[in-house]
Amino acid sequence: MHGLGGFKEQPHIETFAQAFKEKHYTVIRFDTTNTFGESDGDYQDATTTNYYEDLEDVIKWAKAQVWYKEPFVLAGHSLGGICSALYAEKYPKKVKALAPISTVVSGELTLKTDREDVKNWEKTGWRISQSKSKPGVIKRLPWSHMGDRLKYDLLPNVKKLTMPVLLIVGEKDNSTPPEHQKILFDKLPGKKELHIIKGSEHTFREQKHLDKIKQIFLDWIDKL
Amino acid sequence: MKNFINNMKISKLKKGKIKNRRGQNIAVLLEEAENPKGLLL
Repeated sequence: MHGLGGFKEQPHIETFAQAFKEKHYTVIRFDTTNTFGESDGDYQDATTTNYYEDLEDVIKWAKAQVWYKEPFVLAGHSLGGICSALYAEKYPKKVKALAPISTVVSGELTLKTDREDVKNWEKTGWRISQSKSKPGVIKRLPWSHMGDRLKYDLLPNVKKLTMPVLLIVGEKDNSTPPEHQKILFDKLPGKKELHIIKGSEHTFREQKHLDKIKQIFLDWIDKL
Repeated sequence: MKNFINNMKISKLKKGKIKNRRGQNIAVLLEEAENPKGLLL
């Protein structure tokens, strides 16, 4: 599952999928609503709630299909990471293993990141930025997105994440930095791994980083 | 949920749209393995 403003064909999302395909898994990818993929909605309406509900709805739909298999593996990046993990906390028996990559841990921790753009976002009411994944697209997100995000926190129910969990984060990630991942990692009760990708930012774009991530996934899948 | 593409033979579908609880379209991509060892979402 992609992150905020992402889509199912992003190279890192493709990379996660490719590793599972090579290990003979059936793979479902989707575009949430309110992003820049092929689904309905406007980016400025994007919330953690709508991303999470879309994940639940896709899984409900999948359950009625002939290829559905439970328990399944969930993987997501950033906002998709917290949504995958929230689902696993709510329905732990349905989830065989979980890979929240560069995951948002909580709205509170997002708010605490010492980033100029977060401060400016609160001050002006809007976060306006260029999409790196879709050149030419301007992303406009209201501060109300943060109000919604503050309702979510993985830590209070982290003990429910008893399945194997794979965490990966870029060394230079300043959105969901390694320190946030370490807070989550230390509280996870089951089999767990944390990998830090040297030189990478929040979204993995360089081929050498994608290759490294794919190998981490391939090795992890073998252990499931 | 009944507006979802449940009537189609999903095993042959690679790309399609389903409805979420708000009636919006969600674009879904299925890559089905032969003799699958599991499912990734």
